[in-house]
Amino acid sequence: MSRAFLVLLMAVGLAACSEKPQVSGGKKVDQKASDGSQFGSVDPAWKMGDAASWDQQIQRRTQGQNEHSRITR
Amino acid sequence: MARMKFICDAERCIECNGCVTACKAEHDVPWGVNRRRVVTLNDGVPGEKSISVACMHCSDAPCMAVCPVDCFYRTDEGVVLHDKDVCIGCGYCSYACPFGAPQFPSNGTFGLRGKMDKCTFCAGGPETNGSPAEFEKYGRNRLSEGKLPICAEMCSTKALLGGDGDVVADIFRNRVLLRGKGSEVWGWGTAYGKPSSGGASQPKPAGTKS
Repeated sequence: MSRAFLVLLMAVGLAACSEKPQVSGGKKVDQKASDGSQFGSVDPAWKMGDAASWDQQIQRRTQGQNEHSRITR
Repeated sequence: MARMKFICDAERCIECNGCVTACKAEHDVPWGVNRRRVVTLNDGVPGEKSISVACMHCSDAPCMAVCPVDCFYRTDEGVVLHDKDVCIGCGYCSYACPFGAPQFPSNGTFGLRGKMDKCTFCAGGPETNGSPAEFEKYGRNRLSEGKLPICAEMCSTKALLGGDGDVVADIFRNRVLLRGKGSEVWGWGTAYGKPSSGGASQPKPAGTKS
């Protein structure tokens, strides 16, 4: 009886010494920008999911910042 | 594949802080955090220069190198992003960054520091593109909408350029070459007209009769 009680006591006592693992799940894999978005107001000038179309769209938007290509001298 | 970069033209920046305001509004950035800010050199002295600074999305990013939990990653477009679910807010990246880009919101009592926040080049984070979860943590994902960062696209003087590094470098180089000075300055003829096209006539020297 006392032996069983001792084993039980040890089991309970040692259980308190355990530690939960603190391993991070790691970085999540990001979705590509060219996949588009189902939520925001997507510019309709390109086709979502088409990387080449997205590239062209970004080049076009970048050139939109170039006043030399927008205004004649 | 585009390699996204910012460049700021100190000759054009008028320190309006429009980029700072637009960024805060677009991403609902919390109090005490400025993902972008305008730095002025020789403030108040004639000839002062201002420049808009945020994360430069370095090709060899020191923040990535020092992060003890490896929460940073680089997208295919060269944008340096981080996963806030992995970040422990230690602040190492803040010490490593030469541009002061990493920001830490005060989170709760006793000035408890929250997870790092920084410019995302309007590319969000690792959550689903444009999702509410992504917006809450990182702000809007304009790249996935086929748009460029709001700060650059709304810059009134186009001092701040954002986009493919090669393209913005070409725009900037061309601008510098054609900049000119005085009445030769680019855009002068557009605004005031040229003498040959009905612009203001040259003033005559004093003492001459018309």
